[in-house]
Amino acid sequence: MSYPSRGAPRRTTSTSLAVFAVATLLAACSSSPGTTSPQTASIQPSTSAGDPETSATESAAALPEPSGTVSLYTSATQDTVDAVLAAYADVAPDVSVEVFRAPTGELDARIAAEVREGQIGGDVLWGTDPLSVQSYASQDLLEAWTPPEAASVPAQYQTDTFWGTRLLNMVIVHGVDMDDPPTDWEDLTAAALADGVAIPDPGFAGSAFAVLGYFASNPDFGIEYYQRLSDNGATQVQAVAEVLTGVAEGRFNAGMTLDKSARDAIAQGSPIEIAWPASGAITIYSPVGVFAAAQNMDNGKHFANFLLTPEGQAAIASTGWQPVRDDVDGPPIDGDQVSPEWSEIFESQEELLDEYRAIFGG
Amino acid sequence: MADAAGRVGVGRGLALLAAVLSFVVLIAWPLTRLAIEAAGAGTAPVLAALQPEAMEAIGNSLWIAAAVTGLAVAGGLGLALLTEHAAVPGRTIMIVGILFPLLVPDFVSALGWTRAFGPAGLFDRIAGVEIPGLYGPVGIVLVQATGAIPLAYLLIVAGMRSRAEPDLERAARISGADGLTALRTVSLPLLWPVIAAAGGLIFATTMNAFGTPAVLGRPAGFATMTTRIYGDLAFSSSEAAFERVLGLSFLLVAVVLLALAFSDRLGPRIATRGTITGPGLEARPAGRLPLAMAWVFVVLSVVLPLGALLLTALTRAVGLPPLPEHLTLANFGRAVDSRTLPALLNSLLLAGFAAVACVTLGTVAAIAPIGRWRQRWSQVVTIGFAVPGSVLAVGVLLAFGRSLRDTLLIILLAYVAKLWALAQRPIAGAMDRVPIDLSHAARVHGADGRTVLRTVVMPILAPTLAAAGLLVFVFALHEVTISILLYGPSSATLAVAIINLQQLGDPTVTTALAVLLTLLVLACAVPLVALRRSWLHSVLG
Amino acid sequence: MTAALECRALRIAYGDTEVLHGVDFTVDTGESVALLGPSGSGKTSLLYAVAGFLAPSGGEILLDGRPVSTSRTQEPPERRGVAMVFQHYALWPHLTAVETVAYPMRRRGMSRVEARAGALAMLERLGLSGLADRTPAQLSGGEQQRVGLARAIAREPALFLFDEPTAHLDTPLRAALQEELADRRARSGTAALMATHDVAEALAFADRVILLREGHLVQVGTPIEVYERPIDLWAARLTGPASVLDASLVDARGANGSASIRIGESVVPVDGIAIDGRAGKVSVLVRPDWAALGGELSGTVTHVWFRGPHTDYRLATSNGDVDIREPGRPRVDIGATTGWRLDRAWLLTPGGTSPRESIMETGQ
Repeated sequence: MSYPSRGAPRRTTSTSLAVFAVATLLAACSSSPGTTSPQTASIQPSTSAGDPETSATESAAALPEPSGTVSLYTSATQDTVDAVLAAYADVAPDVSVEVFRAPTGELDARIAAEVREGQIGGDVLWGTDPLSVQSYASQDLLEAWTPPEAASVPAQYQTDTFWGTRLLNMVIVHGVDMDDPPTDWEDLTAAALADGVAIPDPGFAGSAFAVLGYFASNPDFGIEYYQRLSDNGATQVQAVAEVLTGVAEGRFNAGMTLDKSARDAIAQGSPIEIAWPASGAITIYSPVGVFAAAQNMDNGKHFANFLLTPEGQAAIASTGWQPVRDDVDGPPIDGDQVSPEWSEIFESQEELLDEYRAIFGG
Repeated sequence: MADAAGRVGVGRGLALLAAVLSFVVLIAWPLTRLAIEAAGAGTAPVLAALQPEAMEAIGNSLWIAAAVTGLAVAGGLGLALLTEHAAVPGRTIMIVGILFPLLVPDFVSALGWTRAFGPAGLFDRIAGVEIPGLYGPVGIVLVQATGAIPLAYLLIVAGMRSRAEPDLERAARISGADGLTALRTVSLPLLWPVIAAAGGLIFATTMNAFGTPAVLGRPAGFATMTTRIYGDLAFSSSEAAFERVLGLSFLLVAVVLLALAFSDRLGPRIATRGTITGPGLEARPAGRLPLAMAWVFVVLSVVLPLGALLLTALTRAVGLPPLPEHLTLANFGRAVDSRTLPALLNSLLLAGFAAVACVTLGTVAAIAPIGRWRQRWSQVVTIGFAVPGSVLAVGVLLAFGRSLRDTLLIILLAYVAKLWALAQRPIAGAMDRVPIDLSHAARVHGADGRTVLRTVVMPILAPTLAAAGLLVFVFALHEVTISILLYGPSSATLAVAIINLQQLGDPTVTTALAVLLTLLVLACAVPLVALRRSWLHSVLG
Repeated sequence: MTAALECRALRIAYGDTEVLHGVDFTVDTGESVALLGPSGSGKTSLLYAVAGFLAPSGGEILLDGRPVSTSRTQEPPERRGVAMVFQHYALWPHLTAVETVAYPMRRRGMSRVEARAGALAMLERLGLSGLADRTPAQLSGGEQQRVGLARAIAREPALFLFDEPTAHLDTPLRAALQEELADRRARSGTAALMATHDVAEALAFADRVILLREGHLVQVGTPIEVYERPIDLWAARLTGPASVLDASLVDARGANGSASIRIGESVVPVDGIAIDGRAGKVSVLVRPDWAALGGELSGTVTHVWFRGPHTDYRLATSNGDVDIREPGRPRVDIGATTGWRLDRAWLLTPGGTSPRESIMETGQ
């Protein structure tokens, strides 16, 4: 039996080629940031240099008048990013900001992959905690420079390559109907709260890891503090927000969470209360830096500096975070604020996490 | 088949080339890029994968996947026997109920389960009842098995219908076997290949699952391979962490491939010559117990979790009891902002193109290879499916980041690399069942190879192609781990929107979006079912 | 004596479509009965109802006097004590021949070892021992059906059901299997009901033949009766080659009870149903073996079919076309005018019977 061999399934092949052709078209339509595509640049007319309103932001004028694009890699919450972008549009209307926002873990995974690939796509890195940003600084991936506004940032929130923008306060949260609510960290290990405490997982949340660093490096607590939590039946949940949800629902009596998230939930009507720890809320600063290989270096610096200006700080504060500058109004701070020595923790990240995992598993 | 293979023409050669090329570009190259990174580290990744903590995670993953596979296959098989062999009142509703969880993203269903059955969940509030150990391995197995039952059901029913030979069961009955004996000695052995294939796919999917183990496992300190890989990936700027990621990932791929090869061997293909004859087996009234169990399953796995989700989405703030004064629609408004619509559009586009591309590639790859490679292709392609999504995304970024960064195309490439196997397996299976005589008949009546494909093979394969496409579409629509790493300013997906909302810490809004997403998928599916009642059946094969 | 099978007013419906409209018949102990009808006549449905694969919409089925299917109860197939040989063999693809034959033995409670030994002995007896370890995919169609038969025998049933058992076999195989079926069945002494559309199969196999048309029983009789005394033209055509000639009835039912027709110059004895009182023009059935070449009648040869042992001729005559079968090779050419003679004929009922008319036993 023999059939003519011509006309075998060529149709399917051409169909698959067609799919790829369409897909390529698809890719072409979505503009690629990082590389300054003429499309993106031409959208904004670059003729607002003499805008009288920019006089309000004299400090920003110390850098060249920006136009074009800037690519922001950030793990800041979406509402804060939105508020900052809206404020930035007033200052630099000619700049189109392209955002890649993801949780710290995903953000770090992407940057690590891009470093291996050979080119980081972002210009500005706005992280959640100093430790993850420090790791890029130590690989010389961040530009060393001095933003004009740096002088207004408290010294403990400054390095050569990144600067604090906002402060995250890890506080205690508990249900409204609680009889004898906890007032300090040690209360979370007390028998009254047995099996009723939630803590965020340092393996997932940057802020939770910073807190782990604080406790472990503080002789008053030490890593044993986590052992006591664990012995008391505390539960680790994936994200900071889950602590809040769990306490609000009554799944837990109390937990560690960030003040901003707790205040947002209370404003919505969630049946929870904040207890500012007597020994101090653990304060983590959220740093901004510019990648050394930034393709829009000037715009990157302009944007990073903007976060430190009163306008940028006000935008941050408007979403409930404490601004890093003392001269910008922020949410109520109801007690002491304490921080670890970040550089010390940075050196021992892996060991800390291993010690923690030995206690809480995972 | 040898004679059919002997006259391969230029077209078949081209198809072969296209399949091999696609495999190299989509799967082999990104994984090679990862391997190159690993090669620099020498044996470190291997050693990293053999650390005690890693071994524990591997052990956890294995037994979880085995338990989920066992439960899901047993449940899917039981439901399939019920709806296919017994007269079930409200059969269509039951089938929709069984399949419905397929349309619900897994991160939503895990949330729904905790809201319904967890501590302080709906049941706990109403009746003081919760599922003990929902947070922990028991919950992980339960939620994942419930999610996998519809998949098992779909694959098994499709298999049952494709080899509907009721005479074989009649022959057993009339030889003296009662219903159960006939099931045990004839029906089940005949279904074995289908069951093994379904089990293999579910095992692979479960080994790869991240969302449910992360949500339910972390609170219990319970780690699986995927949660460990994810944890290390977050620190992957550290060489040691990256090496662990690669070591564990390649180990995961090896385990999944082994499992699939094993399941393929378990199910030797049984040739039959019989065609569908006579009236189908007369459906006997379903037993009361199985019927009750099936409805309980539908209620427990679909109605309650979704009901709990809906209540959460309608509640003003998390933690408030769902009383009338606390109910609001505002969460839906907050869920749908200016980003949601473009993200939804991107997700639909990606899912649609991924479905078309995977079905096309699956078909091409099912036509092209000859002889033993026909089966092996399915296994080779499964490598892409076996890699955890986040690791595959890193590989794709390494391979194509420079030229395609932030485009929809790079996400699409990763989706196709991941989901190709999902289409390939059923299509290759169906292709094997198209009798060669039918093609011969077309050739002898004047159709060339292309025409045979178009007029004979494709129409017969159509239900399978539709089912494969639907599966890929749904998986792509619900995908989270790949797009969160690969999206750019104009290519954000719905998953990105949901994760960003989640981080704001207000589950009411996230839940509202999840409910909207589910309703949307349902809204797409319902008219299809309503317009053509046989649609469901044609999808099922 | 109780019948092996008795069907009373049996009706079968698929949804709103009734395919069997109330049939009554029996299969006596040790008797073999063929259900003969074209496809779609309801044969397989009837068999399936007897087997217990489907529930009748009305009527009763009794096996050995025991009601197995009534309006109240349906006994499941495995408890009816019947065996079936299927049209498409229905061999289990995952079992070897010996496992297949052992299957019903196992179900009767034999141990694995006993059943295997029994199955091997059965295969041996049927001359199939060489096939014991083969799966259906490794068997030819004929071999598959013989394994199917072995499985049925191994069931030791009170009634065999054969559903077009040879329909898918080549002609020589078919004949061989038909012989074997009849032989095995006869030796087992077990009653059997065979559904078939093949008249040769039915006539060779059965003690009695039931003609089934669109869900109605048309005629029941011995093979000879249904062949020689078909109730109408439809039955005549179903039961063998049939020519219909115009003739005039003379001497209807004379004093000696005989009748004859005139055709051309010949007067031929004729028999039929309800001849009394009929006269004039009639249609008669002529089987090919009831006429012969050479004789006083004249016709023109229009077709000649050489069949090997015999030759079939078609003659155009003034009374209509007649088919004649003669032993040996062709003796006359197409176009030739030849003489022929008619030995006997069967008087057809005028207008034929519609399927809905009541059936008539033609047995005497």
